[in-house]
Amino acid sequence: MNGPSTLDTYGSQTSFSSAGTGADATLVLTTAMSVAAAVIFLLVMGAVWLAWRRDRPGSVWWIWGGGVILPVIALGTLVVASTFTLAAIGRVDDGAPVIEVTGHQYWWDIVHDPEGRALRDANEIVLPLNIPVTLSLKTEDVIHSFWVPSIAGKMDMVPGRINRMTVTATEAGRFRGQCAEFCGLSHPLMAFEVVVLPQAEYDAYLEDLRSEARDADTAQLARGRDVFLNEGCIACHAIRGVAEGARLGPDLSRIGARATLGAGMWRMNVGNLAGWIADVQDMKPGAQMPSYNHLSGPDLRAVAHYLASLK
Amino acid sequence: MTDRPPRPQTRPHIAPGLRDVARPVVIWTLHFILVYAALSAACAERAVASYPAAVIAVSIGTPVALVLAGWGLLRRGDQPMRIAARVTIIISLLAILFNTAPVLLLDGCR
Amino acid sequence: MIDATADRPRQGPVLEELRTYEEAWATPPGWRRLSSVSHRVVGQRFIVTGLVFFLIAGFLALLVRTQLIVPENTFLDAETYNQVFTMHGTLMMFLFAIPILEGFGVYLLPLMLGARDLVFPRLGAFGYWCYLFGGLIVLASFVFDAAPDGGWFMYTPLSTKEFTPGLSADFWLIGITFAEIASVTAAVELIAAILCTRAPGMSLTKMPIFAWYMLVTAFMITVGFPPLIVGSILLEVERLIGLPFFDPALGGDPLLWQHLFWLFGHPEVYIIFLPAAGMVATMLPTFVGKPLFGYGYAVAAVVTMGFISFGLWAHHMFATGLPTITLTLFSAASTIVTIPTGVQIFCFILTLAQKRPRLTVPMHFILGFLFIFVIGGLTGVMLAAVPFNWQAHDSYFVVAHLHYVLIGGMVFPLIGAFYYWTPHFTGRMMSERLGKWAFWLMFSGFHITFFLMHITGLRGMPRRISTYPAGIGWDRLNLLSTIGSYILAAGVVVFVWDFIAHRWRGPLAPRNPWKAGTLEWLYPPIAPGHNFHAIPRVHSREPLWDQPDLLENEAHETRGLLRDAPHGRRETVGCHPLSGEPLQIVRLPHPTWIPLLTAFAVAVSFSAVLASLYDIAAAGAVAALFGFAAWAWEPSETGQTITTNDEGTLPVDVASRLGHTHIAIIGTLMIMVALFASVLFAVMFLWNVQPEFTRLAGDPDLFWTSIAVACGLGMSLVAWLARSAPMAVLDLAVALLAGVAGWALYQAVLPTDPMATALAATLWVMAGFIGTQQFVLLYWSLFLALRKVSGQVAAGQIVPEINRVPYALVTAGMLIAAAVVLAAPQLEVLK
Repeated sequence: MNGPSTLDTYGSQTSFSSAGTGADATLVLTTAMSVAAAVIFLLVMGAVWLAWRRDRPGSVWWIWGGGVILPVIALGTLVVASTFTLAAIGRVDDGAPVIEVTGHQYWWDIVHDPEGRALRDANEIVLPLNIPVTLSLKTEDVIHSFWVPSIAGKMDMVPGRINRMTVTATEAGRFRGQCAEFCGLSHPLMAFEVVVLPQAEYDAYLEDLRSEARDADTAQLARGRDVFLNEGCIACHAIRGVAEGARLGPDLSRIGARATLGAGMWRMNVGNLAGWIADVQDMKPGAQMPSYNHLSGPDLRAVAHYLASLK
Repeated sequence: MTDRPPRPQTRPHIAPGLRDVARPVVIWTLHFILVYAALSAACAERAVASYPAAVIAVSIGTPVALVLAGWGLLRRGDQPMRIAARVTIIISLLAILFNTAPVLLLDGCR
Repeated sequence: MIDATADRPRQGPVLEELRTYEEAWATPPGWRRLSSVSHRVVGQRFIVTGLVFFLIAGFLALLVRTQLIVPENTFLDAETYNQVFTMHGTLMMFLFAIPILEGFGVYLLPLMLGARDLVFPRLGAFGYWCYLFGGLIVLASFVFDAAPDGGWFMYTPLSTKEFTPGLSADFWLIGITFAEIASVTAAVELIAAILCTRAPGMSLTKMPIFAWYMLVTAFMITVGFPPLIVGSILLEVERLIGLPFFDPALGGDPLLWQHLFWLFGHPEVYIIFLPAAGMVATMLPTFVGKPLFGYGYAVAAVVTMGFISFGLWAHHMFATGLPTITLTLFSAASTIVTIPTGVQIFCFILTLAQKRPRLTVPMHFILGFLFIFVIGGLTGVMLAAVPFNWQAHDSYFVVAHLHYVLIGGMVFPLIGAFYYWTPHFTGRMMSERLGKWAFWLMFSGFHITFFLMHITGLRGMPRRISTYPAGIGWDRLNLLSTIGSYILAAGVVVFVWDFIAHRWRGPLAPRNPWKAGTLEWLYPPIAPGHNFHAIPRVHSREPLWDQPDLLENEAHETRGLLRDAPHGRRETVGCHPLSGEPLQIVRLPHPTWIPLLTAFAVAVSFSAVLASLYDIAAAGAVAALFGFAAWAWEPSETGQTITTNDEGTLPVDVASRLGHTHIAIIGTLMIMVALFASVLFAVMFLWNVQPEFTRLAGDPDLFWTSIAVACGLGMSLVAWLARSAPMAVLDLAVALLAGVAGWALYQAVLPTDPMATALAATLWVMAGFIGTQQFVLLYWSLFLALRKVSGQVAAGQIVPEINRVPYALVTAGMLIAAAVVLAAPQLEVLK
């Protein structure tokens, strides 16, 4: 890996601090079950200890009490509680705005509001604060699994299916998500960012997606843009207003605005961008993109600067 | 060792007990298949059956399964096979009841 | 407690008049030992081979932990890491856990039940060679630099040709399927052995509890393994010729693989756990000095676990987008399985309460089992709660949970069992001192490694990642887990060293070294290869405790059946399956090379498929068929009788539905029905989830379908008649009708295009499976006709005819079910 890790830029990837209604309800359930499990464990071990010290047969009622009656009460409570929690957090809100997330080996394609005009982004999901959003989860190749522990539990992306889940983020900030279903060579390098914004900033973000990418306003940036256009990058990558339509790779219209590079893996800066372009197969084995190690130093620097300027 | 041990009866009467061990778990299996099939028929893409039809199937199947599985619960005896039968019946009855949790707790596929 | 007695005979003295008897049971010396089919030899082969796979897989686990010791480690590259964790899981689950437990069953059961060997020693030997060759195929992938890297669960579409081009997945599918032959053959053999060869008087309720655990396990294997075998065949066929079973664009579904895999995979966990729990239930009473408390309760718990554990499979699929109501069904079923487990744990606890136990090394491992397994069970209940599962699934929480269940529930009892039964294998005791070191190292290392993983997982770390970024809250936990794994490994090393070194350092084992109550300790270790000079009548579940004469006399002077049998033949007493009363004498085979050669032919066939050399594959299959024929060609001995000293005259290989071969056929048919049901499940599943593809590939021909059904029914009728009138011409009629039925079924599916839709492809598989069943009947019937024509069969020797009836009936039933499936969509249109 080159470049320092970027994880200091995130709020968290832990299910212990919940920033969404799903994670919140689950954390309550987790805590309750953990306490109950600890108590039951101590009771059973206490029974073992008593049995160890005892020197005469016990009653079969221990089997009925410890093996049947108490477990049935505990399990019945658990099934009811977990099913009601499930019904609450598993409900799909058909009226909520839809964000379509498509898993690829090894990145995430994101489309806001696919019903109207498709607003495309990649590897960073921006969510509005306190507003339910329905995620529509698909895959382009193998099975992936969408998981942002601080916001909600995971849901698989299965070929031939569209799985939907409604999430409500309850805390502004950055959270890390990661593919949770083994999906091939670079499965561990398939993460993403979730950014939760208050409504006004969220609207500004959507507006940003509607507008063309930032213009190349210096000579170096223009050179970078030309390299981008001439080196075949546009066969896979789209930049709004520059080269549109390609969907094989992540949309790069605002790549410079993202905190990370390579699907949530490296800090976004010019150096890492250049390293990525020249050596992507080393940084992310099995990625569809070839390493552009034939680029001259100035070209590489120019295109990296250009991409970093797209905010 | 001089005297031959007394020869026990050639057929200990364990067959009825064994049947009472096997029957309730087989009934549980059939009941589980019924519930799974009913839910799959109602809730998959083909939608062979409506959700109410699935609930009706489970509602009819469950009491029948409880009776069939519970048969013999009150038979007395403390031979091991009889005890095993009693415990198997009780566990199976509980498991059949748990199979009905989905239709008891929820009111639709999703 | 254990004193090294002075030099003394390691076997019961050879009595003059029994010399031919001893010779008949002698294991061939030198390299010809490979031809031995004795359960003692085969069982030890399974155990040692399983142990080797355990050590390899454990080494791979250390590689995994070493890679994860620090964030962004470069010790292994991603590809190697994926191979390593895939092989770790594969070897542990398929080539260690089940075979080694079956090995203990193969070795111990005849000794505990009062039999001289398993009923089908050659089948056991054949199974072992299949396991070894299959395991070698899987391991060979390392040599060819094609180690599987798609996870032990091989999810489609990642494992299809498109995303895993090379041969790695084929190595996995072919090797594992081959090794599974060993598991299912051993299961059939254990069922027949437990039901049919118990000591006189050992009714089902006087059976040692271990036999109950193994009986239920064996039945679970017959039903649990077929879904994976079917799934593997579908996936291999998709990889080889492109039938679209898992391709959603052609009406397939990747979730079909997950269903089939977990229909196997969840029962598998119980298949691993139950024998180990049976070992605990056997060892614990020994150290308490009192019988197992609540035998009937334990039997009920085992039987209910054996069933209910089949209703949990989809809890591995909670995040795949199944309907909420289906999730709730599996969630509830997953919690209720705790009840029988709880009953069983409390049986153990109450056994403990009866008397102050002796704190031996096996007892340490039993207490470790209770401690660890209860935690694993409780986290399992947590995982049954769907919302929690959505967070924990495929995270390190699940890694922690499954290792608590499998290491706590299986490895700890297993190592306890090694300490307990090794004296029986080697005649020497393992070290109490080293054993306690092994225990405490393993116990502490285990918790350091895996307890922390619960937290790592809930902090968001997914499974199966070769690298992780620093500073995310996982660094220290992973470091500690890795250190713990080294401690755990050190414990295993101490155990392995003890297991090796005790052979020259360990004190000689006295007779019944642990003061156990079960029959395997009747002889001073090492018991002679024939297990019993005479098979004693049993009046209790703990005969060595309750029948003092057994230990008061020299073991070889024990009174019992078949004591002076002077025939120079291997034989044991066959019993009534329920009452345990003697029913027949079972003649057993002597050492033979046929199982090894036949397994080798099958290995050639499987490897040739892997190398795409289909001519050689066919040649191997034909050679295997000749092997089976040579195997079964021996003269029938039905009709002979043997006069025993205690129990009067008993018939040899009785022609009855209670005979061991008929019971084995029933066991085999359970496998066949489960295979067929798995295919049927695939058909129904695809039909249900991809309705728009139902009739796209063309309709089956209903005329030929009805011909197939008619021939199948006719075949059953003739087979049934042949039982009372065994004639070669009837055998030929069965063969003919079976052949025509198979051919008609082929004609019936011919109009459908298997490449066009997954449903059509699955219908072809269904027809192909029934065709195989028909082929078995054809081959079997031709074989019987040939035997009759060549004068091998005397009047009344109708065991094969009795056995063929259920096979033919079940096959006809499958034909009818298949006909309904083929016809239904067309009838639907008529409505």
